[in-house]
Amino acid sequence: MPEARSLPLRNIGAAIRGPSIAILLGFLAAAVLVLLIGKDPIEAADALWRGAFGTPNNIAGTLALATPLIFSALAFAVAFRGSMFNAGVEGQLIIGAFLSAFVGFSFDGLPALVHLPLMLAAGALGGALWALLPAIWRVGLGANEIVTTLMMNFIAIALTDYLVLYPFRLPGQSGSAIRTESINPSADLPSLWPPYNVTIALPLAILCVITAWYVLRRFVVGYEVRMVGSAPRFAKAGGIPPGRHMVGVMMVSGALAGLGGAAQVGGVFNAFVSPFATGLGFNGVLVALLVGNAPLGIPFAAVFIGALQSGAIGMELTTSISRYLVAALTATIIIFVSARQFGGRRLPWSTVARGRSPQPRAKATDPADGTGS
Amino acid sequence: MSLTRVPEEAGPPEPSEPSAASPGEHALRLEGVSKSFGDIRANEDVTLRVRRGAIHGIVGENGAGKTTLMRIAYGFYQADAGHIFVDDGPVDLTSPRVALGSGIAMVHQHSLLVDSLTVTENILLATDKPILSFAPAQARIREIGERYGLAVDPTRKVGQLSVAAKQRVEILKALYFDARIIILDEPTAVLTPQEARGLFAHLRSFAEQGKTILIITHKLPEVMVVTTEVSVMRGGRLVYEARTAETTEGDIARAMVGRAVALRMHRDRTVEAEAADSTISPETVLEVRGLTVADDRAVPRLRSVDLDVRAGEIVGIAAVEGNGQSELVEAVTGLRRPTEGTIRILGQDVTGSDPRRRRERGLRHIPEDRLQSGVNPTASVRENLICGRHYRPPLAGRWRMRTEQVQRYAAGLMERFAILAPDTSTRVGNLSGGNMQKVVIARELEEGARLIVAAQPTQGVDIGATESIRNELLRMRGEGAAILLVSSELSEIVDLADRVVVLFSGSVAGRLSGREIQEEKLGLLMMGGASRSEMADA
Amino acid sequence: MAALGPGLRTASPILLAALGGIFTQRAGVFNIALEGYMLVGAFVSVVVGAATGSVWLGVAAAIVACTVLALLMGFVVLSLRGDAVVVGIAVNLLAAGLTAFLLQEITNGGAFLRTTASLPNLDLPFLAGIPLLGDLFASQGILVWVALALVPVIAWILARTSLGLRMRAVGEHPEAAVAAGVNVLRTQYIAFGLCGALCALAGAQLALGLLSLFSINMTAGRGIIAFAAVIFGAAAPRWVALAAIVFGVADAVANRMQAVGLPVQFVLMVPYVLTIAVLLIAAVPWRRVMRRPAHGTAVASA
Repeated sequence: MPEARSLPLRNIGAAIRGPSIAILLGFLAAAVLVLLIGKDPIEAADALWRGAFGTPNNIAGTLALATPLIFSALAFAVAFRGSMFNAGVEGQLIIGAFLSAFVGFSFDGLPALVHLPLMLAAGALGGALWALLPAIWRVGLGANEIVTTLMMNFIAIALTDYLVLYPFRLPGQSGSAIRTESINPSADLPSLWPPYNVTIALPLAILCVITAWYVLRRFVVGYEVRMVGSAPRFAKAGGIPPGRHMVGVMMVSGALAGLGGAAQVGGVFNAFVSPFATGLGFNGVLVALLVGNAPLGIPFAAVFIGALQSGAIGMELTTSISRYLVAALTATIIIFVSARQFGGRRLPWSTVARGRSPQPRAKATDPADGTGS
Repeated sequence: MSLTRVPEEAGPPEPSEPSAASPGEHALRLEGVSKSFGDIRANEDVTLRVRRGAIHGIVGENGAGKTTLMRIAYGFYQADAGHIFVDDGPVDLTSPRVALGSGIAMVHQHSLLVDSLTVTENILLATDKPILSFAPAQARIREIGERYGLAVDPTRKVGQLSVAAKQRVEILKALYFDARIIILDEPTAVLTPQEARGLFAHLRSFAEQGKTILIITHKLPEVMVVTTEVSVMRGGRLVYEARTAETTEGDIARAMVGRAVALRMHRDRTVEAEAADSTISPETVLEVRGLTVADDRAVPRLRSVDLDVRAGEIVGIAAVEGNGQSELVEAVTGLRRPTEGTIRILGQDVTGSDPRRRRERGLRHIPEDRLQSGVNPTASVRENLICGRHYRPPLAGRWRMRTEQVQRYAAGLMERFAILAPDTSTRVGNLSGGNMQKVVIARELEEGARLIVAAQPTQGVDIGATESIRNELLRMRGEGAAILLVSSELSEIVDLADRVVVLFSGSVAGRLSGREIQEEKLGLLMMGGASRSEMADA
Repeated sequence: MAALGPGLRTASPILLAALGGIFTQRAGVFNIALEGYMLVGAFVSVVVGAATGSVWLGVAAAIVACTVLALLMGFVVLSLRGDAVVVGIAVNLLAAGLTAFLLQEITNGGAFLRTTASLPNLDLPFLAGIPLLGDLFASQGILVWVALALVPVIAWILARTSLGLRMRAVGEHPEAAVAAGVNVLRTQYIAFGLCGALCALAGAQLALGLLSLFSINMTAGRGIIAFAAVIFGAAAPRWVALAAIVFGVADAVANRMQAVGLPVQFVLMVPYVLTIAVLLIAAVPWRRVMRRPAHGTAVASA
């Protein structure tokens, strides 16, 4: 993925084409489904749109849902650029959220200017540490990080569930969702748009996106990460240590996920809630994949997915079409995106054994040259 | 096309003419075969006729299309156009299994066997029977092995076998399925000269029993020794056919490259030696002492090796694949940490340093696996050219890359090393193999090289590029660089090296210099002094 | 010991799904969509079972639905060359969304669908007399028996049939398989199909065998646990079965602990922690550790 050059417009066009076709096909499939249950897809789409953008309240809802997705999608994309498949964004986000909540309710009397950054930093630290273990296992032992990060999600869920239920139990709670005590007001993320939940986490997320993009493009470390991500052995032979960068991107990835968790704690729940973030991490993966892990595309994709989710609630209210339709729709879009014919990009490694590549990539891999691999 | 010459009496007639051969004379015929991969035309209107009982050599440079043609012949690829006849009957080879059913088997250069399966399982992989019975198959494999002198234990896992034994398994597989036509793809590339002679004896005996052998190679001496007829491919076309007895190495070579070439840069060793003495300075650039290196599974691959390379000399490492030369290269370049011993570059101990520190001492590395380590095919020419100095001034400041300097630097190298690419932002993966290697050479030989570790620098590169790469290495030697040259091409070592260190199973089997450097001697030493273990390896 | 009987019951859906996962894993595909297949299997078996009044029709319909779903995923992954993990995540989301959507359409916004039908038990009276085994096996659901019987059957398929041999070859060295004339794609499609069918049984066992209902997202990570069991057992049937049963027993233990108010979270972690542990233990280069305990490990080759 060379991108030392500024992207001309046609590149953006090419980048958008694949996802656009996938989105179109996804909506078509959903429309057919709605027709099949005897309802009007146009009406459903209208309700979906109004649910997402119809009122200021709905717009705010969309943005609030998009914010954590930006963090988790960026987390996935950054790791991906450094050749790591971080299937554990969800768990890192949850650990980050818990740690930030802990800092949020444990410190009293700090000024917001100190408490707020401290809380966010705690979230980032929690996520980074949770991502560090699989990174070390991968680099030190070669243990497949897809599996270990995936497993770490469920350990994080169980661990925080235990912490909320026992050591940090708030008496007098019942029901399915339990919470810690609330964080102090000094750790509340200020809203940009009172009274709505659109907090300063949103510009912070966008700032992270731009920073990641710029560092990858222009910084020495960004060049090195891209080389490690696209050709690890080449990087190593050229004196770039792949292991260090793989651990590095995973820490950054985990930190971004943790920040997302902290943003949810400080901006939405004001406490740690268990279960915390069902699907935020995985949806982030989907957001990142929708735009081929290009950082600058992530905010747009996140708003798109956020709009679908917040629109679904409105759609359910007005048309009584189940909101779960949107989950199926999102999944369908991602399936279309990941199919190579619709612009999906080949990952630098493969999770599928392939018989043969039908086309040599260049003259040097001309099948006449060797046994083709 | 003036070089396309079909010997009047002996060779097969022109494709356009009706076949003059008596019916049933040809075991295999390919008529007008074409095959493209995207924009690349690998084969164009190729007509190949192979007599029954012949040992037919298919020669050509890398990329000439010989492997593609053979893959069509055993059903791995399907031709875009053309027809295939076995024993003059038309066949439609839709898969290797179908081809095997027609009596055609392929022996691959790097054996295509599954390591975790046993010899028997690997052979039975090609059957159609839904339920497998191992005992009879094993008995049959043993029986064939004994009959042809290709002993392999059918119950062993293939992963535990040596390279030569794996090749025997592939040949056994062909015999197991009663293949009448056996295609071998550069079979001697992984063998010692002595093992190769053993293989040739087998091939001759197969041919005497009426089997037909096709052998892909680019080694002319092999063609002269083993084949009975030969076809030459160039640029996807078949450009020359002859009976081996009626042609010469020179004719074949001319057909291969399309022009006259000096077959060897035969060096006059006496003159060379004097010239060499004047360039080689007493300064030792690389000093390796007691180096022991283990592979990923902690098996020692290199044992207590001592080695010096002085400024202005080329030291060749000769060894059969898998005898420790890769580990030596990895240890010297810092890609693998040795278990024992020291490595000094310009007097400084670098045993524990990472590749970057060594590069800063003047180490340069032309890696063996070009597409993995040599270049990043998905990155631009520019990004490839700066790797290794991308973090230092003038290309970068403390944190950021200096885009303009990077562009200027890359453009300069492109021009100086004549890299053919539209501009510096071209993806390296879109370049030809020769240009890719030029990118590597440009990056590694530019400025400040004191020690060059060149591993298979001309592998898979055409003769023109080979010449220029060799000249570049000689130029660097003249400028006082120390060069460690690892090559499986014995002639390359003989031509370029001032001294040669031969490795056999991880230890130094011999050291030669000056006029002692001869292919036969090297071959003998590479075998561990021609010990009896040669055939006992099974 | 007392948890073993119920443990085997709770383990059975995981075991069935894991046995399915063996096929895709052996064929070289990282398949985390076991979860999604299972959920679809559970949903279809309940809906069709309730509609027709026949659990067997329910099971049959689930097998058809899941096989189709698995083959569709196979199409995207194999023929359209999507990444298996990415598509797997999406299929899990699709299954969760679609089953919940349809459930709510059927029940007018309800969160579950009950069925009176359930899979019969198979009693083996001659086992009842034996002290330990009696408790374990005396009366188990029919699919529990099927699951246990499938373990040696699948082991036999992998070791002794051409299909099994091809799967192993395809997963480990696809080029070698192609060179031997194996149709890699077809083999992988077959693996997907078998995986889907077994996950259908897993879902049916969960919904009809254990609970007699379908509820939104009722698999609740069992498919991921099954995937963990596949990894844990390195896709070798007996080890995968062992892992699935251990994980199932952990689940049963957790249920009992919850009943008496003990913290269950650490028991719930067991499958994931064990799987990571096994991965790490397998990854440690033991020979090197034995050789050079203190220093001199090779540079990690990344």
